Amino acid sequence: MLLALYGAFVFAPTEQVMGDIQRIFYVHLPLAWVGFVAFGHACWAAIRYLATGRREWDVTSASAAEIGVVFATLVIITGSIWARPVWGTWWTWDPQLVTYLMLWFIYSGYLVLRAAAGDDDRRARFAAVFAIIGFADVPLVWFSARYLRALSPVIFTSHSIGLAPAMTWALLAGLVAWSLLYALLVRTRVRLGLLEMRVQALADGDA
Amino acid sequence: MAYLLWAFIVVWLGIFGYLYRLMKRSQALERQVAELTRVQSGADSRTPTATARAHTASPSRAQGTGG
Repeated sequence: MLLALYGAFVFAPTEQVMGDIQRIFYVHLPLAWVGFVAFGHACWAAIRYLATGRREWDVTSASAAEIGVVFATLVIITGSIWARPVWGTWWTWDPQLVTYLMLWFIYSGYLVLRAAAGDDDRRARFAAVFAIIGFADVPLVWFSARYLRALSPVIFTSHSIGLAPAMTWALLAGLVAWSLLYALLVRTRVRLGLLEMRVQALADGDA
Repeated sequence: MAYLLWAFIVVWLGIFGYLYRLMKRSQALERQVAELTRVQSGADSRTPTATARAHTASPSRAQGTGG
């Protein structure tokens, strides 16, 4: 993570048009990437839960979605802070921003649904279906920047990366660092979720 | 530069805030486990088998409690 911060603040050259504000990109894009990974992980675990019925997958899906929402919230905030000096506004109804906001609402709704009281297995099944359907918005976010005249710059194309080499390295360091942090967070959160499940089972047994 | 600084502050506040929340949940679970263990050990000591075991292990204490 220190290497990623060094890459963002020192190693990467200052962008000529936007200046120093462009350095937000080295945290904004990795956060967005890890958010997509988290929602993909939630979707995959939800599929596994529906296939096997094992509660561990349900806990994994919920954990990944929770971290995904945290990261997506930070993406929206950092994007807004970036947009203010660059576009002159905190928010614009750009297709990519709208689809991303929808993604945030879908998975926030998923967490609300999970927090609602009800039968555990039924709730887990509903949540799993919700997580799978919600993931359909991820390709919409990705392709909206390419095909719907979005304001956000397209960095990755099928031919190349639209960045100077030093910027690419700084970005890669950020991607690796934030991905590792995600792995650590999801591992911790899944352990906590499993422990919660066991404590709940014990408490129910005692009651 | 102020925007850049705010962006990084917000990100790290968010991450540490989430970690703090996880830590609090973990502490609450530890308290619950301790409570459950206490309740369970209390229930065990009240069962006839446990009482009989206590009598066998310590006759003098058993007499004391019995008298």
